[in-house]
Amino acid sequence: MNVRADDPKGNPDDNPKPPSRRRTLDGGFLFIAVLGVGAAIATWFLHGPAVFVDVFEQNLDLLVETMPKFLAAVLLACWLRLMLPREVIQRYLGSESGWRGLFIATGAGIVVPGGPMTAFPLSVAFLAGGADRGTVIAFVTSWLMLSLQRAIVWEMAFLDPEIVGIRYLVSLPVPIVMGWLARRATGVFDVLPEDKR
Amino acid sequence: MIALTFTVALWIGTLGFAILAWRRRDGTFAAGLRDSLREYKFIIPRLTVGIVGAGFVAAAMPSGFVEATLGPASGFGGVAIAVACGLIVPGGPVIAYALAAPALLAGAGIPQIITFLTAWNLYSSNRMLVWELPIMGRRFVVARALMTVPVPFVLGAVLVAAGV
Repeated sequence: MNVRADDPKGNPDDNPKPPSRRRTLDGGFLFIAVLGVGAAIATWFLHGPAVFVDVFEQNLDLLVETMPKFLAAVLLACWLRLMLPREVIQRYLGSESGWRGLFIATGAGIVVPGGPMTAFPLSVAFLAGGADRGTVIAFVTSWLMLSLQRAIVWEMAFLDPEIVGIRYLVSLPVPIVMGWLARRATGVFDVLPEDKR
Repeated sequence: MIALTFTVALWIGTLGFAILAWRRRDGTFAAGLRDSLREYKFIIPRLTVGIVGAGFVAAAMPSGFVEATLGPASGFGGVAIAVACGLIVPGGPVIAYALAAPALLAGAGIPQIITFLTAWNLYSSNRMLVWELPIMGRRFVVARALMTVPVPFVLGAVLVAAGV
């Protein structure tokens, strides 16, 4: 761990704001734009204009269906982020350990809103607050695999709720197992040097 | 029907938070609205281009190829290919979903797609390099990554074995 509690990077604002480092146009966006336009041109030439229009209309419908869900999820996440400041989460998770710690950490990973700019500094704060390595691994793994905000805003926009549900169900035990393993890990699998545990 | 119930529940929850934020009378309500607008500005273009683009990718994709490599019949081999796909697909939330949705339409199996998303969730290179490495440190990232290596394989295998 090369971050201390007094490291500015490890200390998020008490009310973390949405990231300012994101740009509207970035590599990821260009990638999907080029992919989409390329595929649209290919569809036109491979299957003809009729299919092209058909596909376009179908997907506009899908977009319109998705909008209400995503508009609500973003609003909810933004208010939650403002009303659930870091100290509150930290108080709940700060020095948790044992099985209770693993379950609470997994729950926190699911509900904590915000992107990596919130989740990782929060993990550092947990460690500084006395949470053990298993609890922190459970939190990070849960956030990576089970973040509700990502599942609702992004995943459900593209995939059937059924598929998201299956993914969720099989993934639920993973953070607990990883946290349990992290407490027993040695060597390269150990997330913390011995003197910092 | 499930989707509609979910949307309604989500709006009820959002309304609840709106009332809580409003009753604090400390600007939380307005700040949340402002943050949301900023988020919308980021997300709406991606979602629009992603969803519409995904439809065309599905239409243009050689479905025979997708079904052969990632289809339900591809079994554990398809799971391994799906892990590899999850590792090479670049970061940014929209890309993995904009590829997963058309792949499903083109004949990919559900276990293979869930494996792909799991690998991508755990190892999105963008997120690891830009956020996890500087904040958590090299030791944490290496240990976390090594420890979770079996996860996408195991989840995929479980789903294949369960006949999903």
